[in-house]
Parts: sequence; structure tokens; C-alpha cells
Amino acid sequence: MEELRVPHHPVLGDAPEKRQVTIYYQGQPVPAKEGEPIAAALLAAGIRAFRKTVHRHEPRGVFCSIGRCTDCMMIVNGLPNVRTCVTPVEDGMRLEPQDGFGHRELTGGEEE
Amino acid sequence: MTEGVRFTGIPSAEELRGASGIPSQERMKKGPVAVIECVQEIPCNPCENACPFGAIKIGDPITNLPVLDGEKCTGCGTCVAMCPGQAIFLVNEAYSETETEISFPFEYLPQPETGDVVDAVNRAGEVVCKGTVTKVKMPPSYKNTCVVTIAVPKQYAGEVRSMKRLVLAESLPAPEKRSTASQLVCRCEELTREDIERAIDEGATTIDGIKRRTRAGMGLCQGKTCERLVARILSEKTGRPLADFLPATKRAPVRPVQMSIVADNCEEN
Repeated sequence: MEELRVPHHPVLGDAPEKRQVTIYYQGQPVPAKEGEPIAAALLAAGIRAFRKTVHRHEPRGVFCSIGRCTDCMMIVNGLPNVRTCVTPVEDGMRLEPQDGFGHRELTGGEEE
Repeated sequence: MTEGVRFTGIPSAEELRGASGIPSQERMKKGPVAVIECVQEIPCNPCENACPFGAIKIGDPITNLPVLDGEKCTGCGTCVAMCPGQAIFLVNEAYSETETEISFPFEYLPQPETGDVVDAVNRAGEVVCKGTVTKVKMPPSYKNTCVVTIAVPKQYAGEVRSMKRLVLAESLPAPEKRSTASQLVCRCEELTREDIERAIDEGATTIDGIKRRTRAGMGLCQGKTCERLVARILSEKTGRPLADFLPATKRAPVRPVQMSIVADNCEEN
């Protein structure tokens, strides 16, 4: 679904060449362009449901695209509630869909 | 009051009547002229700097609405391309006996070509009539924004302000249509229009009243998405103007922050 990216923009011109990196969605490799938002890479790979809601367990994905609505939150490298539309990809990033509220292991100790 | 640019994004007829950027009837008859449909006092002045003839004045403070000097305006179209709000158009009533030319910014691909017959749309994007493309201009002074001119029958000249895109990109399938009652209003707390209306029926008369009954606005986004929708439903149901409900109470933080940012500071102190 390359067409979801915008290679030719009427005002900004052609998209600059970006290095390809790899992120992992539920363990599966997904190609991404360095610096693009996580959500952009997932949408381009055909992944639209990023999480499930707390009460109705409905799927949610990209809605506002500007970091306001929190619909696109996922668990990124173990950290829940990350807004993927405003968080750039990093090579090797691990993404998991989030079901309901974010949870974090509370060990009482220092973080690694 | 649910009309007007603040609520629908479309300036109402009343707002446009009083706008200082709209040229006189006499000037309109003489030939192409800028029609500045700018009705919001926001800090913005690219049009003033863009005009090579000094025909647009904003001055100080920068929130002033633009004032057009119709005699200085040559209808060059630079301001049409440079207005970030795409609120400026050219109108050429002198085009012909039966048709008027309308020029507007068009930032989509593909661009039309002279001679194309296109769907002319009004300020709300609804198709009004057919129009014939007479010019497609993008000189360097337009900074990559294309200005398209179409000729439309005179009776539609006051309405037509753009054209329909030529090819809508094949995008994701349209989502299932929800009934009005089950439309999501508060996405975070998963509340529908029906939930909000029930709260009003139960006696809520303010955004805070609805929040206390339903939690609308208390989720992760803190009302950024639903506040205006809730206000609109309140306005519709009570018949009171939107200004009675907005703005609702705002509290920090305006963006989500990690608790560790707060907690780590506490530890140190």
C-alpha cells in the first residue's frame, strides 16, 4: 500500500529519499522510512487497528493524526499509551497493540 | 448560533456582508479583483506582504482583518496563492455577458487544464454547477500553489469558490455509517450522541454538567475532540447560542506527560 504515502506533494514537491529501517509489529518485521511516524509505517503496511477500547473493545487507529485524540496509542518498546501518530520510528522498535488501559509491571525497583 | 466560520468552517452570509476585504459593487464590475473572505481576527498577515501593489492593509495589531483597496488591486492573484487560510479569491464579473470568472487556490494533483469542464463547488464543497477552466497559473511568486480560474454562469458567481478534485485518490474503504444516535462523540470514554442527549434530558445545562454525568471530556484526550461536539449538541437541544457553553473549563497539562516526569522531580526534592 505504498500509495498511502505521498511521494509527490502538490506544494511540498517530491518526498526526499529516506533510509529504510525495520520495526516489529507483534514480532513481524514492517519496513519503515527513517523519521516517519510509527502510524505512517503501519498504515502503509496495511495495519489499521492499533488498539482496542476499554469499554466496548472496539478497534481504533489513526483519527486526528496530530497527537490530540490518543486513538492511535500502542505499546512501544514496552511502554503503553504512546501516541504513534506523533512518535517517529526507530530502527528495531517493537510495537504491540494495546487492549484497554495501559499496564506497566510495577516491581518497586529501578528501571533497567 | 451554530452558523459561521467558527462553528462550521464556512463563513456565513452575514459574516461576509460586513467583511472589510470585499470590494465594492462598482469595483467588481470593472474586472478581476481580490475578494478577501477573511472574517476571523487571527494573527495572520501574509496577504498584506504578498500584495505587490499595497492594496491590502492589516497593520497593527496583526489580528486586524485585512482591508482591501479595490482601486489599487489589479487582480494579479498573488494573495490568492499566499493566503494560508485559502480565504481569498478573484472574481471577474467583466469576463462575459453570461459568465463570471472565479479564481481559487487549488493544491491537489492532478491539476486541471484550460478548457476542462469541471464541477464547481460552493464554500461548503457542494457541487453547484459546471464550470470551464480558463486559466491554470503557478508563477514563482505563487510559491508552489496553483491558482485555477473557472468561468461559471453569472447567477452562481456569488456561490462558487472552488472545484471538485479531478480524481479522488482510491483510499481506505469508507467506514460503516452509524446512525445519528450512535455517533461517537467522546472517543476516549466511548460516549455516543445518545449518551450526551440523555444527560441533557436529565438536566445537564453546561459542558461541565455533561462531564459530571457521563465522563465526556475526562478521558485521555481531555476533551480536545469532544468539547465542541458536546457544545453543539447542547446548543441544538437547548436552542441557546454556542457562546453560552464555550469555552469550557481548561486545566493543565495541555499535552499528555509521563508520570515519571513529575515523580522523578518529587524524589529529588
